[in-house]
Amino acid sequence: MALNKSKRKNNEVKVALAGNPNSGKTTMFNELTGSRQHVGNWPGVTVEKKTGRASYQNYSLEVIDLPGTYSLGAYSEDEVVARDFLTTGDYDVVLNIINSSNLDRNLYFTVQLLEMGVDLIAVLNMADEAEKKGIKIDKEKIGQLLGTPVVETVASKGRGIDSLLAETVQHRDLSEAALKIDYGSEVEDLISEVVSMLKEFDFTSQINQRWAAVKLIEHDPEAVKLLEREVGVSKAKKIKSLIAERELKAEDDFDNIIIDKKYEFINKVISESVQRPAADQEPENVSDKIDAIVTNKYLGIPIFMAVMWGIFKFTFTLGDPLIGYIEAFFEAAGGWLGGLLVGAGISPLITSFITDGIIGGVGSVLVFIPNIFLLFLAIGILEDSGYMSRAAYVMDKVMSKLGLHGKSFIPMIVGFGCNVPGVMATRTLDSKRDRIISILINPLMSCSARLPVYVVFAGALFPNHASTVVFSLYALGIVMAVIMAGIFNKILFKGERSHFVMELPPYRFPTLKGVFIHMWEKVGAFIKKAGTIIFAVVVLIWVLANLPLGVEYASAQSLIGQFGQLMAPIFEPLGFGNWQAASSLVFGILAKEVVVGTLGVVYAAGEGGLRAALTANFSPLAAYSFLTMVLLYTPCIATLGAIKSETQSWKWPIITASYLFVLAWLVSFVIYQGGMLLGIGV
Amino acid sequence: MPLAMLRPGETACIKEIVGGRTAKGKLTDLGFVSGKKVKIHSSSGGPLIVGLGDNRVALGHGMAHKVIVDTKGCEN
Amino acid sequence: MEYLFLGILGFGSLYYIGKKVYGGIKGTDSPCAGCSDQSCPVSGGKEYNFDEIVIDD
Repeated sequence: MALNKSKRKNNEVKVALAGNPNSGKTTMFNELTGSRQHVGNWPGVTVEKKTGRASYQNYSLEVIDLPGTYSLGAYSEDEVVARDFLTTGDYDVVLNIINSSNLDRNLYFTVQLLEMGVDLIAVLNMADEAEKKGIKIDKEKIGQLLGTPVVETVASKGRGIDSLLAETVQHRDLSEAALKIDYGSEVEDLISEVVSMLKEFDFTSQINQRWAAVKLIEHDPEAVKLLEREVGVSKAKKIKSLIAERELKAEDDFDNIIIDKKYEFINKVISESVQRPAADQEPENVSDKIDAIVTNKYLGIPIFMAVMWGIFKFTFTLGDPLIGYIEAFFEAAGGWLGGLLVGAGISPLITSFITDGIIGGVGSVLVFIPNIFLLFLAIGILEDSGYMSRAAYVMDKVMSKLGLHGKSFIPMIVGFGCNVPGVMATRTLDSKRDRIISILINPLMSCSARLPVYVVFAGALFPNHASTVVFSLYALGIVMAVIMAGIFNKILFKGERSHFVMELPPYRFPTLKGVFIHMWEKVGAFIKKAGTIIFAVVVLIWVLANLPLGVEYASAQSLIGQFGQLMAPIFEPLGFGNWQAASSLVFGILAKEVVVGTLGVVYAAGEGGLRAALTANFSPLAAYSFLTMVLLYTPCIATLGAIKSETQSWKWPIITASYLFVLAWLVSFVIYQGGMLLGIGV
Repeated sequence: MPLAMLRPGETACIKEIVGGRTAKGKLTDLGFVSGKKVKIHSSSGGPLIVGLGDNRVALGHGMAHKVIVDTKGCEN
Repeated sequence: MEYLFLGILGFGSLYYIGKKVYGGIKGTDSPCAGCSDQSCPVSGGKEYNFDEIVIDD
């Protein structure tokens, strides 16, 4: 197949990776492309499209990572995207990444590719795990039976990559005949009839007609759509009625026959080329033993909480000293630079720009790179280890009691990194109601951009309990999310209840390489953000702090001071009715880190350090109340924008922005006034 | 009987998958096909955790009702 | 002189911020560095396979 090849140079190869989730496809992609991968999106859907470059000898390869799917049916966006690419995309050859220790399931996907006529190389990945289980695969035999070249690899250990590249380059013009599985006389007769009708109606020759016929017999909705597009609705109807007619007369469902025959073929391939150790019962493996504890009715949730707590401890114990160093560095640099510039006769304005503006503003945000880095590292390790699906399973019980279900859990976890993809991740929920509710509560998952705010305040005002304070904020966010979900559930329109099916992959040790690639991306993005939007806002605020000309820097009479004072009264009952806090919150709607950046500028943090300024201007209670505000209030513009595009309306982002502000105000109020009454932390 | 009715530790043989196209398709994709052995690992409220060979799958109750099994085993 | 300096910085940043905010709302750009309505490098990047069945047929 691969009929859509664009013109390319002789040494350029385009290769696509396809396979089940948990087949090590992503690891393979990382191995092949290293840090040269580029993460984008397939147009129109939220499925990640990863492309990267690899090189082998004098060949340059473009590697496209297709979404991991179990099949090429049309049940989800992932599958449609993958299938579309395989039928009409521009590529030379496909690397089908197969989990060698799980051939039955993986070959089901392979067989679908082969029936489509995709030219592929079978990559028997995770060969080490298969070996551990005593599974022996005869490479030659299986290649023969499947009709494809075969390569053995262990992507997680970097084994076999070279041979894979060599095979890929060698077979870049591969052209194999499509696999034909004998579906039994009844179905085969129908297939022939449909194929001749397709030919008669001039169905596109770009797609394997036998495959299309089988799909139509299976009532695959995408295939039907394609048929109607190709031959027109009335001719399509003729084919559909023929199929329906035959089905009525048939004894068994064609669907079942087709699946059975596919599996017959797979079983035959396996029995002839794979040796498995005799096993009378399924052995209890390590993953099961861990699961017995982790998914236990009573222990499941406490364990999850403990794991989350552990992540915090880790992020802070390691992060704090590092932050301390960076902070000290910036303070020293600020002081030194300031002195230097003044000494050199540089205008005080420019000096102030550099020390108060850049170092005070942007510097105070950059200081948090260690925290961001460690947080994402911890989450990345957790995800790669396989624990996250167990967490979703465990949380499903809790969530169903509130009328949500396990699938809403993933967007929430993603939201801890950033609410924008968190909101986009709700696309996996089919029920509109579930989607909207998940979107509405997603901002309550405290995103990584707010972390600098928490850390700087916690460090300044709760020095001995910093990690506990921060953890309490995250926990508060989750609790509020749960409560709001319950409320929304009652007041929003009723939708269908849905069920779920979810694979629990075996536990794995995450590969350092994969995890570090992700970390690098994230830290890079953070720095970029600091250098762009945060910088821009800091500059603006600094300018406002110096106007009208001649005003004392960042005083209540400066423009920013006056602006802040307009807003301040709203926050008076919450304990932080000062203009600095008010303006930082307002600007925080642009990007949450800006809250810190703003405070850094207006408190001239480039000289004294932000922590000192905060201690002088906030009581512990006011600080906590402020943090609650930051946790719960209106999310950043980017998030609101994402909500608008996901819901295709203005209504929902406006509702989100408003209800969260009100909620935040109320909770902060309760905390501050309550604390005042009880005399805590004043 | 439906898979949903089995207790933890029990094994059975899948006889058929019922339900609409999408449901059947998703179950089949994950390996629920007639003739396969399946074992219940956990069913403590909420979804069940089910073992298919070396694979573990969490199934909501509704889905588990669509998998019809026979506790007598897969002799043929 | 100082007005010029402040003016350039002030309007420059205002323009940039405005552009990003407008884009964020339109969905074509976003204040979040590298984020657009299409992708986000700060995202988890993990492909989860959580299947959901809607009662049908």
